[in-house]
Amino acid sequence: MKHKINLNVNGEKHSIEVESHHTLLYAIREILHLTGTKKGCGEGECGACTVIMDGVPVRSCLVLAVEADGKDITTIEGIAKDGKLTKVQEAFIEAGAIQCGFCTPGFIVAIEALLKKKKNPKRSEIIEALGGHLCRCTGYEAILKAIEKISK
Amino acid sequence: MKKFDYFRPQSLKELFSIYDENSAILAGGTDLLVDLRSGKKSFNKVIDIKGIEEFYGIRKANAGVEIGACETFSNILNSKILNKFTALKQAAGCMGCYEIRNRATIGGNICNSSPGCETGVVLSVYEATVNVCGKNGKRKVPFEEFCVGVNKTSLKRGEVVLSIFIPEIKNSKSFYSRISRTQGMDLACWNGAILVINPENPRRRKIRMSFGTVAPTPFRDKEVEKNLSNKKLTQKDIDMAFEEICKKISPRASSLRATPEEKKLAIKNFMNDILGNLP
Ligand SMILES: Cc1cc2nc3c(=O)[nH]c(=O)nc-3n(C[C@H](O)[C@H](O)[C@H](O)COP(=O)(O)OP(=O)(O)OC[C@H]3O[C@@H](n4cnc5c(N)ncnc54)[C@H](O)[C@@H]3O)c2cc1C
Ligand code: FES
Ligand code: FES
Repeated sequence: MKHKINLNVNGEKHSIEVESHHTLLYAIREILHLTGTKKGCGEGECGACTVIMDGVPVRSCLVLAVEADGKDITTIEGIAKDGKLTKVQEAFIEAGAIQCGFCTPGFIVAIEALLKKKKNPKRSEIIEALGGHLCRCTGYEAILKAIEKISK
Repeated sequence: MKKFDYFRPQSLKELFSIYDENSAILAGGTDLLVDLRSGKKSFNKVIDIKGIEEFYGIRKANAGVEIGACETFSNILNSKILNKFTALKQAAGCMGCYEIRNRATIGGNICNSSPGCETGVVLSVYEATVNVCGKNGKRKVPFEEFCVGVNKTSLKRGEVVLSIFIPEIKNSKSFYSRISRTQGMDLACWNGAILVINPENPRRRKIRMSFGTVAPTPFRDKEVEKNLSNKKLTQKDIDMAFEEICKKISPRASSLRATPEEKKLAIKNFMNDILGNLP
């Protein structure tokens, strides 16, 4: 069954056709070609596919594309405004919190979603928000360093 | 994922007109989509119930609270009305991770009915009631009759869970505990809830305890609870109760998450921690 859906992605309106069984992750990557959002496990465990939907971070591999009809979506591509990196992105770069970079969009998007809700989150609150994000390269130390910078 | 057709009814009437034996109800999708993707389940129709207002609301209802089936764990955590239900709040806080809690619903949690599901032991000690609705009307199911096995509920074909009623128990305290393999996100290897009524008054005190992952559904033993109630407890009482529970539970030795011994130790520690510190 095909559905015509409207998505507002990173401030841009898109009208696309999806199948019932397509996930939001599939629509973002394969239809809109926004490949910054990653597919890791495809079953909610790793956090690589995290996007912000109507203000809250969700795992786009566990949302059907049709369920997102009419919603505002922010992906990693929509985080930096006018080519200017955010405080979070800068902190990740400075702390060397990126190796292969596969997990990074998920981490950044999750922290940005938290910052939208709370201006100056504590270190512990950031860590709580990242509880379900896996990184296989950095050993988390550098990511924790980036978090120190953000929570200062 | 195998193909299916997606429907999003706007009313219960519309829902029941399309809900047939080859349909799955979709709430937060955090169990269903995983099962559809792995091929563990397949259906011709997936019916999203999130457009129907009867599945929402966290409200005071005669001598308790009613939580709509589609309320998410994040909403439960943020609800002031639920502040008194300590064990429920604790369980909601342990559940999955932030993004999962934003989608996962309490209705989906009990309908999936996994042996260590976060809300199972809590609803069990509170003796919650599940409000069920089908084409031909509504019925109330005591929570202890709702979960009947691993991933099995007593819902009849064509029925859905509308809401869950949790009675407010005056002068009571509730506690939740769980163990998992990692500190970050992991399903509970074991979980438990204890409710103590009149905690300060041993002679009028009542104890309720429920444990997850040690039987197909949350495990309660009312006989043991009776022996622990209405008296000042000694360590011997607690030890005897623990021995009795160990005889009756059936944790699977093949579980990858925790051995039967680890689960028994968790029960023992939890009981000592809570019951051992009562006046
Ligand atoms: C990464 C990850 C981590 C997780 N961690 C935890 C955890 O720590 N603790 C835990 O308990 N669970 C955990 N889960 C499992 C899952 O998130 C929960 O069981 C959740 O509460 C399911 O709710 P849902 O709304 O997503 O359900 P869905 O997936 O939408 O539905 C689950 C089942 O219930 C049925 N259903 C849903 N709502 C209704 C209704 N109102 N009436 C009738 N049937 C209905 C569906 O048809 C389906 O069979 C985790 C899952 C993932 C992917
Ligand atoms: S790809 Fe979605 S959580 Fe791993
Ligand atoms: S940097 Fe490679 S997975 Fe995190």
